Amino acid sequence: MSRGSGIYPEKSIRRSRGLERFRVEYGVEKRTRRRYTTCDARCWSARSRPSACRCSCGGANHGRGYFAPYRGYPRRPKPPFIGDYFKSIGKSALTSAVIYGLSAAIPPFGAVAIPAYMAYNYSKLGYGLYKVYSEISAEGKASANSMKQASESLGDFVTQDPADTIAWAIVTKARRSGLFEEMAKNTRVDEVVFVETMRGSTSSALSAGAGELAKFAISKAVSA
Amino acid sequence: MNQKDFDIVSIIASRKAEFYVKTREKLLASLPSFIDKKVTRLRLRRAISELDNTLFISEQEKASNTIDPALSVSQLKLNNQEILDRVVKAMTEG
Repeated sequence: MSRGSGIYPEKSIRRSRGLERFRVEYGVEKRTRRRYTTCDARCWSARSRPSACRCSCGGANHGRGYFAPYRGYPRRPKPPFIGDYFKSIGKSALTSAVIYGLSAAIPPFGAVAIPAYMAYNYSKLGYGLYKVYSEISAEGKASANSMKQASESLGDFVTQDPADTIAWAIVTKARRSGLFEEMAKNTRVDEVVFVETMRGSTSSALSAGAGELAKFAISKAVSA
Repeated sequence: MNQKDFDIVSIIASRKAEFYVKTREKLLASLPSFIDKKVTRLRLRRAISELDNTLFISEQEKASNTIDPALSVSQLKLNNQEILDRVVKAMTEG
């Protein structure tokens, strides 16, 4: 029986002998399968069978991917910057949310409670804010001119709009007096939401000039 | 600004708050897990609160110079496109 294998054993023996002679003659080392010394990402992320593993784990971790016993692997994708997200893939979600917010779709509890509460309590809230505004004005902190002068004298150091600064001062003082706490309790909407929207609205009213809203009257017919 | 101005500001602020509450619920429900919900909420709140006051007064109210505090946002028939453009712009900036 010959030492070769397959259909043409003599041929394969001849070929292997020829290779041996070539290696000896030209000093070429016998090629062996390369083994990685340590088990790493090449092994864990492999798609081949565990038997094809060439590292120290001997196939134990081969192709395990997410379950590989290695801290920090695989690395989670870095969360995108929120502005970029809403500029691209998240834009449709934002659009539908805004449309939902403006539409008459089945409203959450808060959406029903806020107008109902405001229908009877807007004057209380308005008076509270006006009182705070008067106090701040008396202290000399809320004059639009004085704020503008201050910001101009400080130059680039003051980046905040004077109207915004006054609005912050009013809302912060009103919050301390518990003005928004009661509103939050009755509408079950977080107090911070009212603080923020009140600040934005006050700032908008101050920067647009006092005459902007003056022409409006408040409807007496409360239909809540 | 007098007390009447602050009354109107209060009504507009409450409309903004109502709009924010509804929008937030819808938006947060559709966000993927890798988006920071807290930052999104803060951005949305700021974007809505800084919208122009006049955007939250309906055409009918402007025509009659009267503001009804009992009306909800959905009853106002506001300029949806303008509000949407401004909110999207504020959310994508920075």
